[in-house]
Amino acid sequence: MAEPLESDSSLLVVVLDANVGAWARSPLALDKALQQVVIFLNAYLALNTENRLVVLGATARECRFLHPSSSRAPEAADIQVYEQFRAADVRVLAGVAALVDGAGPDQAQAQAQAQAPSLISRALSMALCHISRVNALLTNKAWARVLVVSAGADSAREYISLMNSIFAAQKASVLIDVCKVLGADSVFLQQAADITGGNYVRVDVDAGESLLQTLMFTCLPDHYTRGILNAPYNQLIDFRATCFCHKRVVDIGYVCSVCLSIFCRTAPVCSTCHTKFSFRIVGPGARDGSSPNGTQNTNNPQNGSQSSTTGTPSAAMSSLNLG
Amino acid sequence: MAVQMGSEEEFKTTIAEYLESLPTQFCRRVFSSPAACLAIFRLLSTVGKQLIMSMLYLDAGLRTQDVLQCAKTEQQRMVKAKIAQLRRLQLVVEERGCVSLNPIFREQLRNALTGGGDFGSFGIPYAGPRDKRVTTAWLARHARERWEAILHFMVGRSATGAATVGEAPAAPLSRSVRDILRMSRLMEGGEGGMTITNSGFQFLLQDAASQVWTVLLQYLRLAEAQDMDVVEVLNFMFQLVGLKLGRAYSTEALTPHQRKMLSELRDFGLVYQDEHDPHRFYPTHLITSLTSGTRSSGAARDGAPAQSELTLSSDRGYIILETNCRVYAYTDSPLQIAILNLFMDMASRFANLITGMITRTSVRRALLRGITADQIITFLCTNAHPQMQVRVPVLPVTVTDQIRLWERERDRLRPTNAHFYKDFAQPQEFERMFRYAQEIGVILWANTEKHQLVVTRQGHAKIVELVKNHRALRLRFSCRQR
Repeated sequence: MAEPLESDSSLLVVVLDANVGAWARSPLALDKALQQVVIFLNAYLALNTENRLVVLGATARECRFLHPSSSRAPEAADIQVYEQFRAADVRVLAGVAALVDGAGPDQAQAQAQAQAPSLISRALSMALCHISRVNALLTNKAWARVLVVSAGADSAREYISLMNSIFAAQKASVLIDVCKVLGADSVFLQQAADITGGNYVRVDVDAGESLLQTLMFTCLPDHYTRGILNAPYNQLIDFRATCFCHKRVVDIGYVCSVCLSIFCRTAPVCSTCHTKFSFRIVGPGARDGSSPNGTQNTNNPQNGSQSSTTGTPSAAMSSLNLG
Repeated sequence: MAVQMGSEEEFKTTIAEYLESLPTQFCRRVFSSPAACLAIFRLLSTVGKQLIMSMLYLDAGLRTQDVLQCAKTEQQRMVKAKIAQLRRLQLVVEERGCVSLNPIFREQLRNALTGGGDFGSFGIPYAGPRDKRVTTAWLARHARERWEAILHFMVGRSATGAATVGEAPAAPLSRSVRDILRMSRLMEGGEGGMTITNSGFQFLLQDAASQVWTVLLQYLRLAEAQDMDVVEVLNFMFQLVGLKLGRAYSTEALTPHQRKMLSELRDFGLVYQDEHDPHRFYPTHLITSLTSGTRSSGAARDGAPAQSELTLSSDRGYIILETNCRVYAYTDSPLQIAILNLFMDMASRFANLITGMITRTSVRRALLRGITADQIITFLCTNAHPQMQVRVPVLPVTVTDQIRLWERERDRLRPTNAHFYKDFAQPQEFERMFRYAQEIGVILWANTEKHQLVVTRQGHAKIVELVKNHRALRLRFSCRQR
């Protein structure tokens, strides 16, 4: 794609983590956070009348399109708000309320779900599908980006699908911004932001940081403005991968040399592509002449950067028997 | 797209300049409405918008140095210029090395985003029953008819002759419309005998949004001349820009001045108001689409009419331009034919097609009227037939280059006030004067063999000085010798 121009419109897909369980543990209540997000959405719409907005809600159970939805916004309830804003605001607020209520009736189930993290990877793939559909329909492309407002922790189960989404986004030059509102840093989402060229910010509400101000400062600029402004300083990013067999984050792992699947322990057969390995396996302590720079971090082109904290070369299943 | 943006950007800067020229007291009152703040915000550049949004929810000021540090090193100069522009518009205050937003502007822009503040800043919808007849498509057609009637009037055809464009003959132009056309020097001459001026020709070639901006600015100047409250006019204008297309709004809460303004904007087709029902009005796309940056987006959003309706003509693109400068235009609108006639020679006319040639004489005729080559090219580009639009570049390069060359041809002669020296008594005298003139860089033309020299007027004064000094020196020298 060509360089972004000042007059180009943008397409923003916001993925809202509406997981009640996660928000309940936060110092910032969900409704307060939601108000600030809505103001941010209005600010985005105010930038350019051509700007398009999509809002997705994600819980542990489902993902749903909140903003361009078939439900009609009620007519003219509040006349003080600019028309274009009101439609989006009403839908987002009502949509999140519906999502939260949907989890309500069955207490036991709700409890179980509250522990489970939200389906961020599913929401990301829905977002990417939407972006590619919109861009196929438009005559002149809109510059697309995704903003994930995340509250929950990483789910190791999501690693593979999330990684696939990230690389798809990178190919489509879609930026992924991540705003982590509470909890520890999300390793996967950090990688998402770094690989696609987006910003990762963590809002420390306890320390007096404002979610809204952070959003306005780092997530509002479009592709064109990002070419002018500096990206916020990014702390070290954890590039560790998760093994495919037990979904554990591994420092040192084994990589199938055919399909690049990652395993935390040796196996005679790759469970992904069913390649049979020879038994002459090179362990971490063994003489390793084949690949000092293990491909543990999958095929991420940027993993050699200074930001990687775990530069430990991993051992690969270097020799294999292709039958 | 960059070329197309050009003219509109120009008009945006004009409205920005107008705002800059307002005294502080006025600005404060303009900023007191959320709708005005939002409309002004949308007129800013992308970087300006980002700067404002970054500071919107900061209570303390930011150090200018820190703001500049946010930008990449090579862009800092540009960001600095943007801050200066915001300061001229009185949107930001800069004191003791800190920048912060104008408090009134900050509060009202926050209100615009959160929906607080002044009641009914974005218009009060009409509560009565809907008029089935008025749809967005109908409004678009109405606005187009009105607007084209004005353009027809400008190109010197009676509005009623435009039966092919709209079935209902448009009403004759009202006095206020004619006043504005005359005040903006788009037309000149007294009642009955108004003729179009050179700037009027340029006006015709612009896109609709730029034309509307021109008219609105003139309206502001007219309001000033009539001792109307400019702030009230501005605020109402910005309120209209923020209204939703296709919805009826109530006139109940409007002041008499605003009602008067409404009835005058109605004559331009910027709003629609039924004569028998003065309690409501509808904004048309001409005014609601003013703050949108580009007119070129693809899919129509919900509620907004398709792009084809937003362009002036009913057809989207109708011009085919060949590499041999031949033009085929699929149109039967006398207005479009008149506009094309500004810069091309007509060859033949059929029921729905005209053919012609762009020639050196026709382009020079347009250039003499003050139309620039870029305006012609932009016009052809915007109105190119869909089959031409898919090509990159849209217009044949040979033709666009040729039009630019014809424009440059006119720049061959440049008049400059000058002084001509000749018949020097001694060659040394010429040499000395020539060297001196060369040193201070004032020579326009010189012939060292014939000892002739042409210098600029500023240079002449200095040379006279030199000669005088030299004479005095020589006189003294000769005295001493004697």
